[in-house]
Amino acid sequence: MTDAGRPVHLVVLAGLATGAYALALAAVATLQSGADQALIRDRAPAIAMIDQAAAAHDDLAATVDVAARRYRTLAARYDALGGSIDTYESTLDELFARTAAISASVSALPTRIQLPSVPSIPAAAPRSQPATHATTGASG
Amino acid sequence: MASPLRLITVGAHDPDEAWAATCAEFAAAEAAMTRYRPDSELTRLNARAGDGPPVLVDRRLRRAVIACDRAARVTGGCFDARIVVDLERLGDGGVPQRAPGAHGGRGTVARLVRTHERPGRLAIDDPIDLGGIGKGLALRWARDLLHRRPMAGFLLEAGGDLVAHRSAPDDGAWRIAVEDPSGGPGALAVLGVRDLAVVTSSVRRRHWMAAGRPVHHLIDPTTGEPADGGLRAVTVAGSDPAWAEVWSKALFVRGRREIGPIARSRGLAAWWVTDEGALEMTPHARTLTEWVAAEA
Repeated sequence: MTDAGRPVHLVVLAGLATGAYALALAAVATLQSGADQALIRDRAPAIAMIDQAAAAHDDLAATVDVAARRYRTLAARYDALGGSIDTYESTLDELFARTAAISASVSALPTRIQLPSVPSIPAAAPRSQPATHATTGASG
Repeated sequence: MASPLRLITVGAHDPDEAWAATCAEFAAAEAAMTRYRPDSELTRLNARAGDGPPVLVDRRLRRAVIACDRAARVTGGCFDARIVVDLERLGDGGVPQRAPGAHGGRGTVARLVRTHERPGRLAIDDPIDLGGIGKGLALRWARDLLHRRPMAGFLLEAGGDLVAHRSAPDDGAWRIAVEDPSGGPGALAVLGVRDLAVVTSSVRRRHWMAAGRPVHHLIDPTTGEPADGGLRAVTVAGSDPAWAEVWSKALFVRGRREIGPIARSRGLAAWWVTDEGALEMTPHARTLTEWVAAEA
């Protein structure tokens, strides 16, 4: 005891306790940091794959967008053609109707026709050989 | 070759000079291409056929051999100038073109021209006969000479083959009778042609007996025997007399079963007479026919 009311051993004890706590805290912090680094290393490939997947998703989204625009364009063209197709179909209907009418007319025709008798025609006189300039044939 | 010539000119300034030029051209062609003369260039070339060195030949003979070479390929071998070996074996006349037994055989289609690297020189592997195509070529060359002379038209005939140019004296087409190959006095048909050659291959005259059997000069190159396809004559009209000659022979060899499809597919104007005496023709030939005896 040096001073009355100030026990030295208590002060030393408190200092030791504080130092021990600091050391323990430093040790725990060191251990925690190592664990975090290991965890980061383990997760790095997965993070890279996630980044690739995200990029691929962006590309896919862009492709889908292009396809959607093309689809809209084609749909517009199809709408424009619709009127023409309707016209063709109506024309085909008319053609079918006319063909059916012709078929009906043909089937109504007689299979044989009796021709009127005609007077006999005398045979034409045989044409004589015209005069010629030369003859083609075998050579000697 | 050695065919009787006849020339009819229309409006020629100098018909005698045209006739003299025609005779000179045929004489030169015969000196080059006949195998009936021992001193002809063809006889000399045939004597060197095979292993002989290239021979210096006249341009006419050179062009004729090359034309034969091409004709053999175009007709698939139905026209083949090398049938001279078979003609001699069957006893056809002419100067012997090669020693008996020297022929080594031939393929269906082979090149006649063995080598001609040196200008003007020619060598062939087998003896050849230029009778028909030689006459066609002579007609072609004489026609070209006459073309250069001022006249309204002409008809040049060489032993049944002819070239008609422009108009006849009556300003119409030249009317050509198609001979009856069986020897009948009348024509089987009358053709009306302008600027065309008309050539006939027929067995009416050149036929004889060999070893007790009838043979003729139209040899099938694939068999080496006289063609026996049911035809007696084939007439072809075309722009060139040499090629009309080639096709008349090739069609004759193909026979009555194949002549129609082949002639039609090639657009030829062709008339043919079957062994039964029936005259048939292609659609192109019908357009040139003015009169048919069987239809009169």
